[in-house]
Amino acid sequence: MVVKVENRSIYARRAQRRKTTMFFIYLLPALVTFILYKFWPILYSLILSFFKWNFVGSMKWNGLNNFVEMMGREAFQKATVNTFLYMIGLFPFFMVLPLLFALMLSNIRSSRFQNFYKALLFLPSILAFSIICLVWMWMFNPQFGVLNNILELFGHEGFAWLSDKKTAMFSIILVSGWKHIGTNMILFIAGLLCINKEYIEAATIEGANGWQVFWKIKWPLLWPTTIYILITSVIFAAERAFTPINILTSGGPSDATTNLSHIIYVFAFEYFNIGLASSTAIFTSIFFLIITASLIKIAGGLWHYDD
Amino acid sequence: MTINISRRGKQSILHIFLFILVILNIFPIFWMISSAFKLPNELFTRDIYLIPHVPTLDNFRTVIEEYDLLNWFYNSIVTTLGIAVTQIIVSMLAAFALTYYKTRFNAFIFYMLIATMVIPFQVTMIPNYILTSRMGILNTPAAVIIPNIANASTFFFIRQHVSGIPKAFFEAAEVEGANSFWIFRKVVFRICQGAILSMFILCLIDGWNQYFWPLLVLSSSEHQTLTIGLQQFLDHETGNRWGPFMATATLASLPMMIIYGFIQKNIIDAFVGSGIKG
Repeated sequence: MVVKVENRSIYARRAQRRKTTMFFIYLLPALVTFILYKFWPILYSLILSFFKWNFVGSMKWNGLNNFVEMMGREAFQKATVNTFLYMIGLFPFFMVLPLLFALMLSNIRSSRFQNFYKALLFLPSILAFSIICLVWMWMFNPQFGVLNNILELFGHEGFAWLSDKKTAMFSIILVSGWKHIGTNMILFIAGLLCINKEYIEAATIEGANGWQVFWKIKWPLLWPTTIYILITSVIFAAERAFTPINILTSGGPSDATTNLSHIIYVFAFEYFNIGLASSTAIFTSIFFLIITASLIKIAGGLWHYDD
Repeated sequence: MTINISRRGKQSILHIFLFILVILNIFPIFWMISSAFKLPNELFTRDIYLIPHVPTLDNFRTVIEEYDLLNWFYNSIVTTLGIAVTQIIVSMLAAFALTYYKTRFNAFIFYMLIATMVIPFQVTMIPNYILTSRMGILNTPAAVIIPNIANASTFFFIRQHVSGIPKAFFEAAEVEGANSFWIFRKVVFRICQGAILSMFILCLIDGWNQYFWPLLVLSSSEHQTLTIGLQQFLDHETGNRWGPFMATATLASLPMMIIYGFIQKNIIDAFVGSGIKG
């Protein structure tokens, strides 16, 4: 009897072991690529941030000097402040306008028109950001650009959009905002569709007006969408704004429009100061992590594992 | 009656408002296409020509004759398809493993893969660049494709669908004596077709529009993709060549706009299902 039980448990254990082996065989491609291109780079960046290196030549131990140098650089300070300015500046384009458009669209009765407007408002989302930035660059052209030409019709002399400190950041925000209004609008529409109509009807019967229905019912129920979009706008301000910044202004004039991702690129691929670039990258990811983690915490967790 | 009228009034105000918004919204795209057909005298002017008075194909001719346009197109297609196919297959395999097998590593590996969503690109950029250059694949499509295989949002989206497959399907196949790879190919792929297609389209859009990473690893003109090659029209010394640029930009945007024209509803739904990609 005892032998039999042992045998069975050996079989069971073997079967489990074989299962685990198969499990890892299927996971292998994902594990290899994720470790090689996501996890190892974090460690490697951390190591690089303590060395002095220029891609070629030998690496020299530099202790915490890279971080000290980073803090002292004016470009870095501006990049950090600008990242926050981008977040604030993008808020109307990432949150307010998309929500407004979503509310307007959802009030359109004719579904054919609704789909027509939706399709065209979403169109910029599928186009290459880099191409779109260059098209806008031409529209921003102070001499022949269509924006200044239109302003001229109203008797305004126009702006030096991208080379003037006062308008450069606004121009980048305008392009980025324009690219994302449709995307975020779609997310808000989806959020609005999820709201149970009975809540709204009940409130209307109780005598609530449209304004009250929005603030007391729709807005709180849109909270998950809002948090999601807030996180993407943080990611955008610190990271993805690289594309418009690099194309439209290269961070100028005199670092007025640079952000964290752009300054890392400049440190690494223009100054070839890998240590400085890596320490800035480490700073950026900690910055990132703190903000997204707290937002996710506020939201009560976006992803969870369930079987 | 009065309610009716005010309702209709409200609707027409909404329509007018949205119509203006749509016009403003697509104006840059319209301007790009319109400028592609303009002669220099209509481009470099202070007058506004909404539609070219003398439409021309000169810009398109210049691009084809003087630039590596066909190479750029070819490279964009190869890298885009490469990214989409590898991302989806790798994510499918991982999602299948996590759904089909129950081991004590499941939750840990799931969280490990998902956690990479919050790793900023800049942190991985320099090490990945060094790795890619050591592998000796700079200036090849592989340099763009391979580091892109690991994508947490693609994995997450696919996993959500694979884990939704009822266990009974797997059990039925097992009773028939099917091995796991057969189940992966015949059951999982077939049931998740719709989700795979949605993700495939999003990956295509994402791959086609990539800019930062290809900019780092593709330096020679003949190996560049469209988004990177377009930078060549900007030259601070000889002046920017806006006409040929607009022609190329129009051509580069065309494939995605055509796909969008046919299946915009699916694309919008896919965007909503996966959050924002790219």
